[in-house]
Amino acid sequence: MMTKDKNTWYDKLLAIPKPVIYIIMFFVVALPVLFKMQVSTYVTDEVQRIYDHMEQLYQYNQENPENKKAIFIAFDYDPATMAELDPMAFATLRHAFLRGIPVIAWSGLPTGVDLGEQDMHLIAKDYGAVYGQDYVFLGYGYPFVQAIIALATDVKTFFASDKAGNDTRDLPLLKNIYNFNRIGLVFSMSGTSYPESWVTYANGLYGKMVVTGSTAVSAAKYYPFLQTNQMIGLMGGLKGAAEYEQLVERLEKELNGKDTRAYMETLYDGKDLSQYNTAYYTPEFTSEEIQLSLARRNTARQGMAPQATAHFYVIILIIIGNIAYFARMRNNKR
Amino acid sequence: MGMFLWMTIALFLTLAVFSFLFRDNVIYKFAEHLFVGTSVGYTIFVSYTNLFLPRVWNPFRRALGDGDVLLAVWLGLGIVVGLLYFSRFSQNWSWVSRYPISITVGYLTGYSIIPSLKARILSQLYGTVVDPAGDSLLNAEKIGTFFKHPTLHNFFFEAMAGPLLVFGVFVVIVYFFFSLKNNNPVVRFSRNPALIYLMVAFGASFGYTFMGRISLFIGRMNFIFHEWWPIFKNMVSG
Repeated sequence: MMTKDKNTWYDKLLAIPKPVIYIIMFFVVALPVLFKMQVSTYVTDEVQRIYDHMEQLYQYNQENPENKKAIFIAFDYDPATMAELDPMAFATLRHAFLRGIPVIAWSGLPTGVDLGEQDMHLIAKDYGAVYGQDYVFLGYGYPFVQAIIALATDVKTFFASDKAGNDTRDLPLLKNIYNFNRIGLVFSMSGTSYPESWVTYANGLYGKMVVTGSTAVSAAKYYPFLQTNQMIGLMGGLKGAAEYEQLVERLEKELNGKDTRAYMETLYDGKDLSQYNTAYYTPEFTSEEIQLSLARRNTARQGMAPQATAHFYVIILIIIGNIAYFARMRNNKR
Repeated sequence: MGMFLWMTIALFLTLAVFSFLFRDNVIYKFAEHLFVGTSVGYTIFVSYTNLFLPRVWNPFRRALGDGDVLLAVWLGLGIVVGLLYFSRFSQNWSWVSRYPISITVGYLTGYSIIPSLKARILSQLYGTVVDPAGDSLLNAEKIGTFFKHPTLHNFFFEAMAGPLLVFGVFVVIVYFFFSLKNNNPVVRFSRNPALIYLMVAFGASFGYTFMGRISLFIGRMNFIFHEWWPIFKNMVSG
């Protein structure tokens, strides 16, 4: 009798081996990646607000060129979550460099220090931003709370030198902008609970506007902070990154022309190359670098197609699983 | 060639970690142990080069060299207090480590009481009563607007959003209020609605979690097909 039961269609469905489900999932994700499929995505309010605040900051800097405000980025993530958070950081840096908004950054995690520094140089190179003038990477922001508090007075007292070993008193950017007074927006990119600490201290004590770029796993818990305006924007997971990426690409095409490749090829032509320290990046592009840079502008949006197929696959599995489960329950009752 | 070698190692480790999906195995264990060991080693290195040298040792030496005795003493005091942590390695002296621990905990606790209260309790309480625009969440005008213009948007996003939020907070708090017996009428009434609210919250979290996990998988697929594979192809084609 038992053997007969096991052969029913619903028992077979409920006993699909896990490796089979995983292998199908592999193809469901790999094929859209392989064929570079793309799906369009709409922009949510919480991401649009980030973009709008950045534009407001740009307007402010245009009206007050002697009194510019910067953004602060905390690269509070490590390689484990870089698939989700790197595209957000890239899009934010692109927006800042496109608009000439100065960037000051650090990482609150030891394993994120090199990652953050590398990301900054990588994107700075795409726009010819100069280290020390347009952007600064301070290094490891630890102990975390004390580091935030230092930003309220003078960050140079906490970081005597930046990650590259430069005396922070010698960096032109930090001579003018060294505390929250001249920081317009604080970005916390993180897969941890660090954004909550930024809300607690930077927003709670100093009234700074905090933006969070979080992994999808953590995103849901930040919505209450959005509702109370303790956070002014949220990029949740790859979807949030794709939205911001889309907005920034539109801006880039508007400012630099539709042919980004041509823009990059001529970026350093006729510029005074002596202002660029080759320890950070070389002011020229190889064709491979241009290719990678163009691909990097698209990372999150390209991830949305496999996201969609994976979600469809799981929805189908849930429906099949439920039908089989209820069919078995009904049969057992009989 | 060097870059390709490192990328191939990354590819191997990616596949090694995914092999766990089929069953626990020695290749997965190798990748896991390598990851833990590398992370710890890396953290120690970063802490030494990014914390100890630039924030403690170099300023201490500079202060001594410049004759800034007060700063040198201040930094030296910090070094000594910090070194007390290492007393944990001795059974007889481990109690000494309580001093730096008590300083750290005391400082952070004292400092975080007010901002935590403000950010996590008072602001959130305020957000349960008042919407971001500054209007009451139980706004009768919005309900009136719905009756004047009965659309779905006005119903869900204007008239009902605030009352549903307030009601949800209330029933969920009651659900976790364990000082009343289960047969209490308020507890009994709020149990089912609270469960619905909780399930919606868990569902949203689960949906996001699924998206997050798939994103990580997509990240690795991107690496394999768009970073490693083109370089491999170039090498093979010469």
